[in-house]
Amino acid sequence: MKLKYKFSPNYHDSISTKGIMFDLLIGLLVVFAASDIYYFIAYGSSYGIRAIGLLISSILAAVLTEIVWCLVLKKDIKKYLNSSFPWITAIILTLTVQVSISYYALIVSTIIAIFFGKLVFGGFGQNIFNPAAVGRAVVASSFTGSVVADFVSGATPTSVFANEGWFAASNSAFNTFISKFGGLTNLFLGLYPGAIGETSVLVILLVGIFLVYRKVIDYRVPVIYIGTIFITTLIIGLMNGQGIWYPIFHIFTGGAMFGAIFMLTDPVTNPTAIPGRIVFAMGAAFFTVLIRINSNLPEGVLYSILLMNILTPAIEKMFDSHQVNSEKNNLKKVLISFVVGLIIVVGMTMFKLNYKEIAINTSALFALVK
Amino acid sequence: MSFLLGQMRHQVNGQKELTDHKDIIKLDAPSVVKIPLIVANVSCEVYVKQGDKVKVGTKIGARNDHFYCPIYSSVSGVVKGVEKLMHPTFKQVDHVVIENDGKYEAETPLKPMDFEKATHKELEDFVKNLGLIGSGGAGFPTFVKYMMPEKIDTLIINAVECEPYITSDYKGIYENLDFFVHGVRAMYKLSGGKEALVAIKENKKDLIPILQNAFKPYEGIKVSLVPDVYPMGWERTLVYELTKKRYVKLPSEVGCIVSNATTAICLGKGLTTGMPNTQKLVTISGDGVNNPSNVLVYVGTPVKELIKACGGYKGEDIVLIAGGPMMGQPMTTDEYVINPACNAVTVLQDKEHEELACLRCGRCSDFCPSGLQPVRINNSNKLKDVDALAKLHVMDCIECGLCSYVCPSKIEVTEGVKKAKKYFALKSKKK
Repeated sequence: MKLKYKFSPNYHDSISTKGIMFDLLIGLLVVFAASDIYYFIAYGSSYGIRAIGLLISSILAAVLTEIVWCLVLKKDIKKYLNSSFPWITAIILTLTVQVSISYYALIVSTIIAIFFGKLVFGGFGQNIFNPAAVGRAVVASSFTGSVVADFVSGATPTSVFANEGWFAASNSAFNTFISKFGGLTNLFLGLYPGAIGETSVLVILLVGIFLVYRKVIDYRVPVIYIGTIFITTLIIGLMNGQGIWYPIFHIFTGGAMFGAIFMLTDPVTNPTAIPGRIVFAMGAAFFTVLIRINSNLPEGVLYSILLMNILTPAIEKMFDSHQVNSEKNNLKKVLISFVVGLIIVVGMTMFKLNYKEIAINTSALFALVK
Repeated sequence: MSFLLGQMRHQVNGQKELTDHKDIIKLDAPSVVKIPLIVANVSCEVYVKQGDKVKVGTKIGARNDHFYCPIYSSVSGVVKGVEKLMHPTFKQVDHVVIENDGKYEAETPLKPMDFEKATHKELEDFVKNLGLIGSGGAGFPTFVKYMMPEKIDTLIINAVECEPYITSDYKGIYENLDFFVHGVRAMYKLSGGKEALVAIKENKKDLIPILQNAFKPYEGIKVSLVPDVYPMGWERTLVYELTKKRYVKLPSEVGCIVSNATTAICLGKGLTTGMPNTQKLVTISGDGVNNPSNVLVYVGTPVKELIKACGGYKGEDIVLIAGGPMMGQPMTTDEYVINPACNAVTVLQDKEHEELACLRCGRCSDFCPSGLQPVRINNSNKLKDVDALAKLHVMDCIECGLCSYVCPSKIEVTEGVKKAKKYFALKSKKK
C-alpha cells in the first residue's frame, strides 16, 4: 500500500472534452445527413454521393495534415489526434461549401485551414481563428470559380439578394424573388440548393437545442447573435421601406443560423467570460449586417467571425473582473457596446445611401469643370 | 442564475449512501493520544509539562489572542511531552502527547448552564471557555461571530454538508437530536436574531420531518430546504440562497450568522454537561477503504486507527484526504490525528486522469461560486502578470475545487489558482 499525493479536488465531473466533441460530431453529422437526404431525393444519387465524397475527402485531408505534422515534429500520432479533433474542422468546412465545389478546392482549403488555422498556432486550444472559417475564407477568396460544371451551383437566395444590394425595390419585388425559392417557409425548411449544411434553419435549430441541452454550447451566443441581427436589420429595414420580412430573411439566409450554432460557439476562439461571449456574439452580428449591406462581399457571417476572433483577447481583457461584484458594470459595458454598435451599423448603412448621391453630384461637378 | 452570470454551483454526486445508513463504529482512545496545539492555523500556548497528570476536561493549552480558545484533554493519564507531528493543515505542528490510563476520569471545567436564564455576556463567556470552534472546516472560535447581537437578523444553522462522501453532520444530528435542538436554541438566543433557519438539503427526506417536528414547539426556528448542489454549504452561497443578499467579507454585514450543525450539537452537550467536546464523529469513506463508516473517536486518535476500524485500505495506490474530496487536504501519512475540526477522512483509489489542452470553454468561470475566472487567473499567473491577478480578484478564491471538478479537459485548475494566490500574496507583500 502506498499513499500518493494528488492535488485536491480528487473528484471530477463525467463531462469530458472528448464527450463534448463527440456530441458536436453527432450534431454536425445530423445536419449533414438531413441535407444529404434532401440531395438524394431532390437531385438524385449523384448529388448525394458527391456530398458524401466531399465530406470524406475533407476529413481525410484534415487527418493526414495532422499526421504529417506529427511525423515532422516527432509527436505521438494517436495521442495527438485524440486531443486535436481535426475531423470537426473538416466537417464544419464541408457543410459551409456548395455541393458543386471541386474536390481539389475543398482539399486545399482543408489543408490550409488545419495548417495555418490551427497547427501553426500550437494546435487545439491555442488557435486564435476559427479554423473552419479560415478554410471557408480560402474557398471564398481563391476558389469561387473552382466548381464542377455537372452540378448546379445555381443562385442562392443570398447571392441573388446580395446582387440587389441587400434591399428590395418593393415588397412585391421581394415576394416574386423569394417565391422562386419557395417563400420564407421554404427558407426555414431549407429545401433549396445552397451550402451543404447551411440551408435548413429547422434542422440547425433542432441540433442547436440538443447541443444546448447537452451543455456543449452556451445558449447565449446564438440567441444574442440572431437577436442582434434581427433588431439591427429590423431598424434598417424600417428606415429603408422594407417590410417585416426583411429581418426574417436576414436570419434565415446565408449561414447566419449555422454560424450562430456551430462557428461562433467554438469555445477555443470565443471569450471565456459570459459577458465577453455576449459582446462577441453581438459584435459578430453587427459585422455580419455591415458586411452584407455595405461591402462588395456576398456574405457577412464568415468574415464577421474572423473579425471577432481578432477582438477576442481584447474582449477578454474588457471583462477581467470579479463577475459578481462587477455584474452591474458588466451590464453597462454590454449595453453601451450594443448601443454604440447599433448606431454605427445603422449610421453606416445610411451613409452608404448618401454616398451614392454624393457620387452623382461629384460626377456632375466634373462635367461642369469640363 | 442571471443572464450575465453562470450557475455558480453544480450538482455533484454526493456518494452519501456509502455511509449514511450504517451504524456508527465507536472506538476507545488508543494508549497514547496526541492533541494538536493549534486553533485555526495559529499555534497555542501549552499549560502542561512532562509528568503532569491530566483528566478528561483538563485545560492543556489555549490560543491566547483576541480569538481566545482553550484546548482540553480528551483522556485521563500522564503527559509525556510535546511532539511535532503532521497536521491536516499539511504543516508540522506541536502536539501534546498523553499516555492514556484508560480510566476516563473527568473534571468539568465549566458549570452546566441554563441558557434561558443566562445573560448574553454569560452565555458568550460560556461558549468562549468551552473552547467551541466551528466544525465547518476552518475551525475558528465560535464566540467571535456572536459578539455583535444588535447587528444580527438571521441565524443560519448549516446542516447542508455539501462535500461528497461526508455524512458526519447528518449522522450526528440523528444520534444527538436533543443536544442539537438545545444547541440551536442557545445559539438563536445568543445571536440576537429575529429568526433561526436550519438549512438542510432537500434530498435528505428522512431527516427533514424529524427536524421539523423537533423545532415545532420553538417560535422563530424554521427548517429551510436548500437544493442539492455544491457548494451549497459555503457561507456565501447559503446566505445568498436563503436571503438573496451578497456581502463583501463577513455574513454579519447582511445581518447573518452561519454556524455549523455539529457546532450546535457540541454547544448543546456542553450546556447540559459542562464538558468540552472531546469526541468527534468522523466519516471514513471512499472507494479506497473496505467498509466505509462513521466512526466516533476521541480527539487525538491517529487516522490509521480509524482506517483499521473500517476494514483497512482497499487497493494499492491510495489517495488519503483529510476532509472531503473537493476541499480536503491530501495527506502523505496516516499518522496524523483527529482534531476537533476534523469531520471526515476520504480514502480513494488513485486514478489517472488524462489531461487535455484547455479548450477555453469557460466552464470554470461559469461555475465559480465566488464569481471569479479561474482560466484567466491561470493564464495570468503563467505570464506572472500581477496587475491582471489583482484585477481578477485572485484572493477571493476559496479553493472549493469546483473549477477542477467541472473542467472537461481534467486540468488542475484549482491548483493553478492556489499557486496564483501564493504568487500574488508574495508579490503584493513586497510592494
